[in-house]
Formats: sequence, C-alpha cells, structure tokens
Amino acid sequence: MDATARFSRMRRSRLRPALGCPHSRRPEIIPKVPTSCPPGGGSFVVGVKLINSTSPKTPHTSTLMSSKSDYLLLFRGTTWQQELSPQEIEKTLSSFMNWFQELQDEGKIKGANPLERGGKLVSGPNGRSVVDGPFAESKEAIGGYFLISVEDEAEAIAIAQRCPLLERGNVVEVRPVAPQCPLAASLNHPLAELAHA
Amino acid sequence: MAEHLFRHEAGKLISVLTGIFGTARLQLAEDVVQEALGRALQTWPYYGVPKNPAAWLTQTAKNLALDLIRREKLFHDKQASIITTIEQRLAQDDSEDAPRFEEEIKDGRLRLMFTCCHPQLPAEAQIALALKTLCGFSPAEIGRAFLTSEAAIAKRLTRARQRIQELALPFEIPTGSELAIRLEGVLQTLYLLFNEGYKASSGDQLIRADLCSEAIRLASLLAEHPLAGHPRTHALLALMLLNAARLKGRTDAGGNILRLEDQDRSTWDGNLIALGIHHLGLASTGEELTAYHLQAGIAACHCIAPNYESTDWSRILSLYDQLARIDASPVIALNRAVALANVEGPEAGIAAVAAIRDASTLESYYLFYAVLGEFEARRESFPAAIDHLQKAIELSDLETEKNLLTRRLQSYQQRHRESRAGAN
Repeated sequence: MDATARFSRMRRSRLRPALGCPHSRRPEIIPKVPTSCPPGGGSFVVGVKLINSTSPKTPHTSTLMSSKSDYLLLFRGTTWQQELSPQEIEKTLSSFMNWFQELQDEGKIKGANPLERGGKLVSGPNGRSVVDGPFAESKEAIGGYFLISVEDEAEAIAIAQRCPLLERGNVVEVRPVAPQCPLAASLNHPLAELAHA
Repeated sequence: MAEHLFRHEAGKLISVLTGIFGTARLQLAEDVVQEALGRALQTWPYYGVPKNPAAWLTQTAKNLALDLIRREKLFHDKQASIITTIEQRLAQDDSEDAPRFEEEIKDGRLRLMFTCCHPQLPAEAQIALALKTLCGFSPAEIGRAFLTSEAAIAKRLTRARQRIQELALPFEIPTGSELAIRLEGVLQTLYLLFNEGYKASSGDQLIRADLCSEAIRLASLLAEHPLAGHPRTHALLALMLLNAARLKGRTDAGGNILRLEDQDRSTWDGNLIALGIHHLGLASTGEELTAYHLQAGIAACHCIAPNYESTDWSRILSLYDQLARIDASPVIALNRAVALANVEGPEAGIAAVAAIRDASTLESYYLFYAVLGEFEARRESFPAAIDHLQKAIELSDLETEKNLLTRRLQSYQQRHRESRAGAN
C-alpha cells in the first residue's frame, strides 16, 4: 500500500468514534480479482487481513471477518409531512419505497423499521425517572432507521444522499456500527483459547 | 396503488369525519386525515403497501379520530355517542372487497360540497375550500393554480372555516325548493373550478389539468345522485367533458397555442367526447335549457365535426343566439360574432362586433383585436388587420399567446405584400 492510500484510509478511520478498545485493529481489505463474476454481479469475494493500528508491520491474519461494515441510517424529523398535500405525500412515499426496494434487492438492508411517535426517556439511578419523550415535534425525533451493510462510509453516505425525505427537510444521520474488538473476538473463540493457551 | 389514491381518499375521509365531528370542526377532520396519510408515509415503505390501501387509511383515520375524541374536552358530553358513530361509519373491513359504505361516503361528499359551496361564503373561498377538503389539494397547490401565495390561500381557508362555524352551516343535501337554488351555487363553483383549469393562462400546467379532472369528478358525483342529478347538472358535466376532450390538442409539441382550425383532431379524446355526448343526452330530458346546455351544445358541434370547414356553424350560431339571450356578456357576444362571420362572412362579423353593447369592457381584451384582425384579413383589408393584430400583441401578456399572434401578424404582412405585388 502506498503512503497516500494509507493516509486516506487513516483519515477515514478517524471519522469513526473511538471504541475504547486497547486491541483496536482496522481490517485491511485486499480485493481478490474474481475468477468469474458471481451471479447477479456486484459483490466481490474479498480477503481480509488485520493490521495493528500502532504497528502495521506485524499483521495477524483472519479470513473469518467480513469486509463489510454496518451503518445505521437514522431519519430525523417526524412532523415535516404535515405541510405536504396528499399528492406530495403519495409521491414521496413511492420514491421512498423504490429507494428502499433497490437497497433490499442489492442485499444492503440488514434491518429497517419505522418508529412510533413519542416514547419514554428513562434515566437516573435505577431508572427512577421515566418521562415522556422525545417529542414528535422536535427536529431530533427519529421516524425510522435502516441498518445497512456496505463497503465503507462513503457508500453509506452515498446511500443516505439518495434518501427522498431529504427533499422534504428531513435529516439523515449516518452512524457506523462499532465492530467487536477483533482480538477479543478471537479470544472468545473456543479454538482460539486453546491456541493461546 | 391507484393514481391520486391519497388525494381521493383524503376527500372521502374528510367528508366522513366532518359528518361525525360537525362542520364547525372541519379543520379537525382535515388534521386527522393529514395525520393518517403521514402515518402511511412513515410505515408503508418498511412493510409494503397494504393489500387494501384505502381500508388501511380509513382504519388509521378511525383510530386517530377515536384517540382525539377521548382526549378532547370539546367532545366530552357527546363522547360516547360520537365513538359509537365512528365505530359504525368507519367500520373495519374484514373482507378485502367489502363495500366501504360507498353510498354513505358519496353522500357525505355531496353534503360537504353543499357546505363548501354555501352562498354565504365568498365565491373564491368556496373554490379554495372545495379544493382543500374535497379534492385534497394543499394551500400551496391551490396557490399555484390561482397564482396566489400559499399564505393568502391559508388565510382564505381559515376565514371560510370560521364563517362556517359562525353561521353553523349545515352538513346536508338541501331538499325541496331549496335544492334547486343551492344546486345552482354548487354548479357555478364547479364551473369556475373547471374554467380556472381550462383557460390557457399562466400557472402550473399540471395543477391546471388536475383542476379540470377534479371538477369533472365532483360534477360526476352530483350527476349520479338521484336528487342532485338534474338535467342542468348533466349539462355542466357534458360541457366539461366535451371541452376537456380537446385539452391535449390545444398546444403543439413546443407548447405553442393552436387555433381551433389548426388543431390535430386526432389528439382529441374520443372516450371523453362519447361520455360528454351521453350526458348531453341526459341533460335534454325535461324542460330546462340553461347556459350550460347551450355551451355544451356548442362544444359538441366542435367535437363531432371532422374538421374546421365542415363544422356546423349555423347550428353553433343559433346556440350562441340563445346563449346571448340568457347571458348578455360581451365575451359571449364576441364569440357569437365569430360564428356569424363563419356563416355570413367577415363583414357580418365586423358589424356584429360593432353592435356589441358594453364593447368598452372588451377594449383591454386581446382577443377582441385578434378577432377583428382575423375578420379584416378575411376580407383582405390587410393594413387594418395588421393594426388590430399589433394591438392584440400589446395586450396579451402570455408568451405563448404573443407567439401565436406574432405568427399570424407575419402571415398577414406576407399576404399584404403578395396582394400589393399582384396588383402592380
């Protein structure tokens, strides 16, 4: 890997929240040139090599990990449709459905649900405080979410940018799902435990 | 999903809920329906469109209405009876094809039509209200159709709802002698609604086409009703259908307006023409002959003529003669002059224009000069024709109209040059 590529990969990784895991490793993705195109086209078979973020010269290898990352798309804003006409609602609905269907057909959706308005906020010691919220009127209220499986953050953002609700003033929050610490994962594996012992 | 499903379901549900809440709570009915549509938008993308989308919307509106009734103090006294009514009128469909009280729903929409078109509301408020509550248009869309701001329409709607509340306007189809008077008001509003969509002035073209189809939809509802389906209701419906049939042919591919004689008649909608003629037949049962009958008759003459030349102009002229007796509008007199010129020649047309009473109101109307210009050109007095056309171009404020007039002006100038060359 040349220096520029590594730098850009490091920059990208910095966008992710700190995981607080001392064994934090980033997966390095090495695409294998496929000998034949898989049916349906699209997905490549990739091999993954783990490199330690502090000393990239001593890589562990693992073929168990997938190169895909999970991202959560949160659709914020639940009252914007109040201003729309029935015709506009119908139009937005059908573009949203097409968009969702496309992502599903591409196998990118791992989960997706709308959320009911309102709910409770539980806080305090022993969860003593239970109050209503967040209110639907708030701009932060979440109307629904997608859990998507994509190559990288750029792809997650590109998908979010196609959300038809953006046109109506909705905000899409793109959040990477933190992967399990790879070393911890291998330690949890019964065979790995034996190996380490 | 059927086209305009949301728009049409909104109109139905608002009528049903207004029947339950009362006309004084019209806004509440509108809000409940809006919320139900919003819920559909929030859930359908994830779970798919329900098998029976209309029933889903009805059910959701029902649940929202029940929540609201239980919460609102306004309804406290009558809570129990209102809840029973909601349970009955918005009953759950167990089977997919269960008729959703179609008759009752239709009835509700007619009642709301009579409320919206009540003579004690200003005419412009009637149209806006009908579009908002019966046709599911937003204030922004109504504003686009009428070249007014969304805020102005919203204000107009709020005032109209207040007025309905103050006057405690009923939610009913009038009976007896009152029906005839009130029906006239409803027909007039639908006529204006249609014309607003039909006239080729500026504004959002898509919305304008929708206005025409909504006016036809509401007029069809009226025409189907045993009490409201008067001959004149059929006449108005026929008039709308026979004009709407020719909508597509009015412009060429480049959006330029075409004159009747230049239109490609194969673009006219044969189904709408047939339906229009059918309703014109239903309109001619009985004694009454209204302006709608005569205008529909004129439109029918154009629709059934294979081309401009073979149009039955004498019949059109006789219809205009009768129309001018009912309605002394100078615009009708101007149209009559065109028919007359086609029967008796351009001189007769020019004389008829000169004889129009209140012609002064036409002097700022570009078509007045365009018509005179055409008459002058037909009798080959091109300098006069050119003068009139220049005036018409000055007065028209639409680019497409200006273009059409300019093309005509150029053809007059050309023919003028040719006739002078021929004379020399």
